[in-house]
Amino acid sequence: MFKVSITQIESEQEEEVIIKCHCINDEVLSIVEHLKSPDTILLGSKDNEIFRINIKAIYYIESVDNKTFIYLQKGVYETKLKLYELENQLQNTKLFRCSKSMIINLGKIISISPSVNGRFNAKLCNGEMVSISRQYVPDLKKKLGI
Amino acid sequence: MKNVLKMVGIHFFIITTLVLLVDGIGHFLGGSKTISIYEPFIILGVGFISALPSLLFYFRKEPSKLQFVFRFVFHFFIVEAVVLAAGYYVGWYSDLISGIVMFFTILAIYLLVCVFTFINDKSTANAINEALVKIRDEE
Repeated sequence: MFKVSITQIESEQEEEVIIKCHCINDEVLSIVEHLKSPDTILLGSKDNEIFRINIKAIYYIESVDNKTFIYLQKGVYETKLKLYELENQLQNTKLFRCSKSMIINLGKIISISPSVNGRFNAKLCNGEMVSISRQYVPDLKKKLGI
Repeated sequence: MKNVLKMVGIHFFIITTLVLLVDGIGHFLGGSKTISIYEPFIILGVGFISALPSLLFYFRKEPSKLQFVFRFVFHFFIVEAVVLAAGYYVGWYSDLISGIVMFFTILAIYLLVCVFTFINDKSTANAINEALVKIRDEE
């Protein structure tokens, strides 16, 4: 069991977390992983059951008929959150709003290519193709640091 | 909207440059050594008016492929009409045959703009793909 100490600092000082431990074991690594990836879990429902979904496993999130669905490699889960709420919640992650109805996981994209309909097509790791709207491309470039 | 205005701006410069190029070639082949002082301004005007219909590609909702193709064709005919009208007004053509030549010249410029846009998109896609490789490596 860790002893937890919190020290409040001045606003101009940089915030940091220091872990003092006897050995770097799985528990410590798990804490580090959690600290590095805030909001890594989303709740999704399927067949009247609630599941904890790691955002790294998400391929994309789509809004269809005012319902929001989370697509994983295997399975689709529904979430009560709206797409704009998820967009705000996930803005510091690799998930990116790629069209009015979709948020996509950049880590699951194999490649993108221009499409004849003025949009860009993204090929995902599972072979699926999704569209990236032209109007979101500047934001995507910004997110990728291009 | 900012991106759409940027697109209109890019199209203005591309169309103006290409019309200027074609006009220059036309004068060269036609043996004309002088141009009207108004001609560069007319070319700028044609470039601007021809670029404005690019606003048709501003969609509030995601367009279907059919909607996009429809607007694309509609856009082409608007550009044709604008440039043909301006060309007739300034005397770039005066009879049916030269009008048809003008029509196909505009078509060629239009296709060139499409090619330039595609090349630009391809370059954007390549840059994004390179950045995506780094992201996947971090996974």
